[in-house]
Amino acid sequence: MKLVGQVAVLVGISLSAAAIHYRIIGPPDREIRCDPASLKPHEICLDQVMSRWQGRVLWVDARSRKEWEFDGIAGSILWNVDPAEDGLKFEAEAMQHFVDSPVVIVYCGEGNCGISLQVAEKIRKLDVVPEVHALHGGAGTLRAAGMLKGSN
Amino acid sequence: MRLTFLLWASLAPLLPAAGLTFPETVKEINAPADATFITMDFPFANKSDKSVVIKRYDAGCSCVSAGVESGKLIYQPGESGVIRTQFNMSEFSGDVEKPVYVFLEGDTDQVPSVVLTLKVHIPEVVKIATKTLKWEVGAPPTPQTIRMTVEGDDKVNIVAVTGSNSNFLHELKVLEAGRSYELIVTPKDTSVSGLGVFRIETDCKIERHKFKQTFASIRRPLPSEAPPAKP
Repeated sequence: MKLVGQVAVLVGISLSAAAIHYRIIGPPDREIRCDPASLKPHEICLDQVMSRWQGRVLWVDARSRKEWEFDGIAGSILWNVDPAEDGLKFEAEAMQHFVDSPVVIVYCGEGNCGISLQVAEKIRKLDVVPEVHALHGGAGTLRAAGMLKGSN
Repeated sequence: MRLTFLLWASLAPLLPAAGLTFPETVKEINAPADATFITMDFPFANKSDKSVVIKRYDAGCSCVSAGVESGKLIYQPGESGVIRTQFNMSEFSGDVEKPVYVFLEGDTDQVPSVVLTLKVHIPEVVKIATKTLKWEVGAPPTPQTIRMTVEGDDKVNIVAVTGSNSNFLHELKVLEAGRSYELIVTPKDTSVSGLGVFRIETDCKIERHKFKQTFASIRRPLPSEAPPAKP
């Protein structure tokens, strides 16, 4: 019984502190920040995509087919590493778009999913697109910018 | 006992990060052609005089998983452990290099204390020297060649090549059966842009190496590829 009381006091103190913090500081900051200085090789910030090419790039969605169909960027193409998909078919279909695309930006799921870097590497090996990058922050960044379908 | 625990709990976040010593931070391996997963171990020891806490790993690729073999994340001076990495190479071929970033307590979010590197040579079985042949619109329709070489001890025959675009003629030349081939591609007309896909079928017994693909394209130079204007 004594233990229950102690736990209740501790929980009460924690909740009060959290409420005061929320009131004064505000809600937690969930914004995905992108510092060009700390990017991995072949990664790029959304700000750079918009300033260098005004967003006129070919977007490649490296998420699942279901996610791409649900809210992929308008005009984007799908290329993921799902073992259930046909990798050679992705490659052949994507090439139809790549021959006329000077810049390709690959995005994957929320945060640091890494699949976009993997797909970007495959695209670079085709040796047909001069600029291939993976978007830092992936779909989370695009959603925050209102660029995914239904997010603006 | 309780006082000791409370003291530890309150002071633990203040402990400065110390280093882990890895005898090898780069490991290189030749993977067998039929392997899907490759495991590489990176032993380490805490040779400092402070405890070290492993905060997180970041492989930067869904194809690499990493973890401390025993699941233990706090290492006292003199203790040692092993970081086990596993690389799913089913989507890769050729020479692949993958980093694994190990963040210790006290590291910033951007700069890890340790970077481990996995270098894997994955046999392509049939190695294609040029993935895409290119002609500019209006260029002479001169033939171009893709060299294909079989890697490894076992012979692999190319049994068929099919093209998707009738504007590209192709001819398969056998230089050495089961070892070395050339695919010669000639566009009939380069006045319009177009793409040809060549599907190469082999008799390789490993399913994921059975089919290969290569391309031929006729296109106008992209603005970024145009030579700089003369003053």
